[in-house]
Amino acid sequence: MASVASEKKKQKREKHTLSELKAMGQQLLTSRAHVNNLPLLLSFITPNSPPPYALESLLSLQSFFTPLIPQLPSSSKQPDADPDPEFIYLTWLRSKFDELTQCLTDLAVSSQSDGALREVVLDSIMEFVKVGNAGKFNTSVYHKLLRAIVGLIISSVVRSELGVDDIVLDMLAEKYFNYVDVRYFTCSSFEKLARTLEKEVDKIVFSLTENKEVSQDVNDLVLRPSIELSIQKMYKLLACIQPLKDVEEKLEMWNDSGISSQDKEGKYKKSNDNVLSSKNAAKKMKQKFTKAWISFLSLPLPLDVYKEVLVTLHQSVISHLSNPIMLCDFLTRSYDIGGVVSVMALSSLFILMTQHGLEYPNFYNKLYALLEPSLFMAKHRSKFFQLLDSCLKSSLLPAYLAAAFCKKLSRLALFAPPSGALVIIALVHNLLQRHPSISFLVHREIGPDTTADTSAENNTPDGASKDLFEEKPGIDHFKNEENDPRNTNAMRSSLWEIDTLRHHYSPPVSRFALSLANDLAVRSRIPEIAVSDFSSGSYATIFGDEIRRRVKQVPLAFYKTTPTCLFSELDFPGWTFRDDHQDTSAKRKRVDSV
Amino acid sequence: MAKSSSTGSAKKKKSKGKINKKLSSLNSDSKKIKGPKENPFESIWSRRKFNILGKKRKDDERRRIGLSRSLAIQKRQKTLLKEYEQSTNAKRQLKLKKKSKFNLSDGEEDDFEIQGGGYFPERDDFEDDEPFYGDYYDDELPDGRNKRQFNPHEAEGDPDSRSAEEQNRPKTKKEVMEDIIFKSKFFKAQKAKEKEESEQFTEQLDKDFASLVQSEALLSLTQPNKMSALNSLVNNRNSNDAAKKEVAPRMHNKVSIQHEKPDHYDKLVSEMALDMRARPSDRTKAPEELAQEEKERLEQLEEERRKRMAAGDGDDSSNEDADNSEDDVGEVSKQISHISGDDLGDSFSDVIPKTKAVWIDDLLTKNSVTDPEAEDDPTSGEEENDNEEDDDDDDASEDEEGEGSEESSDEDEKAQPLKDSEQSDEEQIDLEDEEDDDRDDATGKKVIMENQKKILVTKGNQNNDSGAFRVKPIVKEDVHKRGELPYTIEAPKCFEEFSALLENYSDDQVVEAIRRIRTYNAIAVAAENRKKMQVFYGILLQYFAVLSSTKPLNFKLINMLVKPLMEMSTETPYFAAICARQRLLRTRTLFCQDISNTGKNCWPSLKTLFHMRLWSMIFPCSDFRHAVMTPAILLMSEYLMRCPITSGRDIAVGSFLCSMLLSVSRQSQKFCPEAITVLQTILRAALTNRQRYEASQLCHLMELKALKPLLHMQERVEDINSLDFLTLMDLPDDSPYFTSDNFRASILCAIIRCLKGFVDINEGFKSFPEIFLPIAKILDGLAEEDLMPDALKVEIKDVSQVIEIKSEEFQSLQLPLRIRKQKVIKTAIPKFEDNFVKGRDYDPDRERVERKKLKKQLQQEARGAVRELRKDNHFLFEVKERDKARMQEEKTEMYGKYRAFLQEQEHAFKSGQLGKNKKRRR
Repeated sequence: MASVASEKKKQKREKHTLSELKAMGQQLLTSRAHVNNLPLLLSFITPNSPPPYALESLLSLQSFFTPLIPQLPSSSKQPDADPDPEFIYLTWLRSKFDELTQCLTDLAVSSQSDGALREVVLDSIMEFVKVGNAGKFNTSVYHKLLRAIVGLIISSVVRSELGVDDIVLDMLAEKYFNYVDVRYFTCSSFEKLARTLEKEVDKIVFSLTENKEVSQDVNDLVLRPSIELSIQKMYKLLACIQPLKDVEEKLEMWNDSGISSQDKEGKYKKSNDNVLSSKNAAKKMKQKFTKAWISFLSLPLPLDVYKEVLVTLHQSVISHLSNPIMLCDFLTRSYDIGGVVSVMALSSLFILMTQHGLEYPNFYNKLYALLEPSLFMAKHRSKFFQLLDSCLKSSLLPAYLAAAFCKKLSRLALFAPPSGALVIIALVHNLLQRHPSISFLVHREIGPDTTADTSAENNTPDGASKDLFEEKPGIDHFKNEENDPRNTNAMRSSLWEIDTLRHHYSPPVSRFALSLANDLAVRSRIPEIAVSDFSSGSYATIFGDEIRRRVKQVPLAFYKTTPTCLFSELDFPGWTFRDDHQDTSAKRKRVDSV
Repeated sequence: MAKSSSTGSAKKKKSKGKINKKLSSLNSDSKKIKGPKENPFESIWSRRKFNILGKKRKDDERRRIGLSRSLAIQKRQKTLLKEYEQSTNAKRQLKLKKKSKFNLSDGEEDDFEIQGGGYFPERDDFEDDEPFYGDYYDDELPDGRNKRQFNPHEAEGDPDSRSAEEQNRPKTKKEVMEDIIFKSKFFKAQKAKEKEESEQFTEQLDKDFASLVQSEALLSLTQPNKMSALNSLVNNRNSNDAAKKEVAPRMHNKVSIQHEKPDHYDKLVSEMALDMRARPSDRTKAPEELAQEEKERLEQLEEERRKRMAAGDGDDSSNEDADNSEDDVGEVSKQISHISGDDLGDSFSDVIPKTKAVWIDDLLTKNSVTDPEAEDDPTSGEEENDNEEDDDDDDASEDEEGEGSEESSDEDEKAQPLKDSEQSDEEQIDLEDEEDDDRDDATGKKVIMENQKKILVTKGNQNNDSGAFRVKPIVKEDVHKRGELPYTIEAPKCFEEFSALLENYSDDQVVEAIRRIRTYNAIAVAAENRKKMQVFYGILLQYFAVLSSTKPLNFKLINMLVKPLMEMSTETPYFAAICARQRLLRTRTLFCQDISNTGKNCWPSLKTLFHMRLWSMIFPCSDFRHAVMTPAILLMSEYLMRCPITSGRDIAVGSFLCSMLLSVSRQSQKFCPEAITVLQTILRAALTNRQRYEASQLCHLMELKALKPLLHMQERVEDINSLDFLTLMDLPDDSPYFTSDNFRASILCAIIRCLKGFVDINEGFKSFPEIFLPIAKILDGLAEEDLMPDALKVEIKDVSQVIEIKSEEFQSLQLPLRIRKQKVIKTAIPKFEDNFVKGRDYDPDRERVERKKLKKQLQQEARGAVRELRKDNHFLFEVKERDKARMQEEKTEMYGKYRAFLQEQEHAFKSGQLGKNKKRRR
């Protein structure tokens, strides 16, 4: 049937020229008599039809429907037993209109069609959305559009293959997200979409667990990427939504009638729709916004989206949520993941802890576990170091914890790039200044009397383990691999690493280490170092500093006899530097002589 | 003073009214007078008579106490006295106001006023007296000083002056005669004395000579056969010495006779005359002069070459010469004097006027004809400057005689337009040469390729001259193309010019050309050459870059470029540093672009490595902070840290970078965490999977870069060759060589050695065990492997043992940090200061010193203030006293007057003349 229809359409298309289409549109607009042109025109609005045709028919149809929309009955209404012919006509129009919007969304979403056309299509959809529901915001159409864009039409065969950076998304975000109501309805429909998506994912997971052997790879290959794609798209749109400020003077509305009037439940329906205090709108917006985010965050996010989410959360989201504590599930989960993700989650978590009274057990243990060498190459290290510094600010921290952090950080400095070493020195400096109780890390007297004591105590088994440090002061008892700061033995160690850093090849590092040692030598208190001065350092900054430094004098290397070759094998054991050129020429010689 | 003032006041009193009017004018007058005439005390300088040990000398040590005192008094007069007067005036006025209400002025007040104002005139009177003394002293003092200065001379009794005095008066005849006798005696004595001295001196010389002969110094200077003669001579002399000593005093006359006899010594002397005579050496020339000379020499050579090229008739004679001196050439070039002996026959007269340079030139033209292979001599380019000149000259001039100069000049003319066209093409292509390195590499490559082709062709020619008939035309063409190097080469302005210049020359000639450019445009010759040479330095650096990125690599030429580059860097160090920094910056930006492009291999290219190495040779690596080396080291470390290791080639480059860092940080013993980390990572790539897992458990720090087991040995390898860096760099990423076990074994070997180096230089670090123990564990794992070659196993074990031993040593010896300053324990042992200076505070506590200083200053100031106050008081007191005295005097005077009046009255009364006498008295 469908094939026949399409064939017919094809024939039609072949038959009709552009001018004929135009004429048909004119006819449609002029009188009801030509209403049968409607399905014909409708048939051109498909991704397959050539853009001029689609455009032409779209224009005619749009101008046909725009005045009619307010009169159209809702599609859900059941036809009466005794239908009025006018009513039947309108119902028919309604069905055609639904068909049109469906076609339009298909067109807008299909990646094959022309970009300009899709822009026009999107515009017209939004026009319909504006007046679609009896002069009010047409939620269902909009929802369908978003759904199509996100690509969640499971039932339909044609999956949306829109890329993340498709123009439709950009356009939607740029052009329409300025309007409060658009944003509002985006949020609400995203909430729904996220729920359905979650179910979808559950289903997949369920099916995976049910019959692993059947379609695991199929699922993996087909579904997972598509879901990830839709999540990415959702994230993109969601991130574009600017949450309302609490007090906003003027709200730009796409549809004049405002938000509350559109509420389906009608709970908030008021006598006069237009008189809606902006405060109220902001409150509602906030709620929707929160719901959308929360439901979105419950989705299984792919890693790259996850990271981006973590970045945006503390920057722009948390402050606009109605109840930020709701994020704590998500954040604690991500903080527990470890690695870079935890580092990134820390900043949001920190906000929750400091501003919203979240209590997090074993926070410091987990923070301690985050200290890894990869930290120094991570993208968001700057923020992390600052947070680390402020987390360790409290003078109520137990000495063992401070010592463990000190020791662990300085251990890391032995393998970190120069920028990392700088940060670490600053952090350690601050720690030592804040916690006089751990000054033994940099200064420990081993008097003769204590050694005598230990020799006496050595007989008892307890004493032997206890005074291990005094017995062999040169051994570092710090357990680097231990993840619990309580068990690291940092209290029995000493900060030899700082001394080692004084020999670092990079002048800023060695100088900084030296100044740290000098500062510590004086007993007086020295103001803390601002970690933010160093936290954003990298090879680029250090290199840039060195290059920018004015060249005052250039000493040269001194040789008794100027060396004549670039590499000497004495300097490079295990390497030879045969003269390749000579070698080949020698070979050639040989060849020639032969 | 008081007296004088009183007398003054007495004087003034007589002319009260006048003074009142003239007061101001007089004052000014007195000032005028006062100006030139000074207080004699002011001109007295207090001089320090003795130096007192350890006492600091204050400003110039000479002070005029009198002057400062009078200055102080003047100051007080200006300030304090004025104040005082004002206050007294005010008081008086107050009094006056009170009194004047009731009292009429009775003249007393006026008097007082006059007297007060009269103070100045009093002073003036005093001053008036002064010049009397002042003049006296002013005249006297300098004289006295002069006298004192001259005194010592007089005491010595200057003979001249005395004789002059004596000459003034006429001499008696006797005196004249005595004088003459005395003079002759004196001269005789002097002669005898001189003779004696010269004898002693010759004796001394003989002794010295003997010792000299026995020493090594002369031996090295003279020829061996003469040495023996000398020795015998000395021995003879020694044996004769005893006898001579006895003879000498008696027979002074015989010495001359002895001289006439042919002595051993004389023989020797005559023989030595034939030897190369020691010429007075030129004074050591300033570097500028040397450079200038060098330049002139090149110019001269060039001129002559042109002459020869134009005339073409000088060849015959030189050819003739060549036959004669063929055998001697080698010797000749070593010793110039010998040729004069050998060549006596034909051109002795010519030899002398010719300059040295021309000589060499002539010789070398001969040389070149006889020795066509000289050009191939690889050492010719590399010898030191002095020898280099000779050899290089023959390089350049070798071909001209054989081929005839006309052809070559034609060729030159033909070649010129060709070159030009090429050059213009190139210019079009690489306009942005300066900016874009890659591009200049590309075009440079073309140039080089051509160059090399030619070189290869020529090499082929020379090797094939026995057979191959087809070679002949090529030989000719080739020779034309190469032509000869001009002696004077202007410094090229751009890279194209330079590459065009070098187009047809061999490697040695290229280096020689560079050398000539450098001498011709030496900075020492002219200041404006500095700019030229800087441009040229940039070009040369570019040439270096181009060469190092060409394929096939001309490593020999690169090596030969190192020396001129280094030497030029010493001439313009600042510019060299700027160039290096710019290149570093560009390299880094490229690297950043590469690393953001995932999938692109971002390890440094051969060119970058060569540059790094070059800079680390030019600039000192051990500086704490160096304009070039610090960023260079940073960049190397960054490469190590950020480049992912994915293939065997990456490992090779990485480990090579590590060894470069090692060589850079060896001297200063710096800590390079990146290099050690990379070495550790690479070593882990040699472990099996199971071991790797264990190792990662052990040092979970190293999850930064987990590697595939790229270096894990698959089969047994017997021999370990050291890797050839250049061929390795030439191989593509996926070359099968990188997966061969041979490569694995050799790279492991190189890495282990590099690691050893790091262990050695980092052994002083306090966290040595923490840094190296994990590596030792990996090494142990490696040593356990069956497939590891035995030799490698030994080395691995060796290194890991070294690490373990050192770690243990550390752990047993190391103490926890004691950064805090110790409290100083009081000791009874006195501390002695070298170079103790009295007055300096040696207190170790700076704060206390500061406090002490402040206290002292305060005390000083307080004392000064008190002193000033006291002086003020004193001054005021004096003034008041003076006033009081004056008042007293006036009072007594008045009293006397009145009393006299009263007495007169009384007397008159008593005598009854009252009334009667009235008339008479009036």
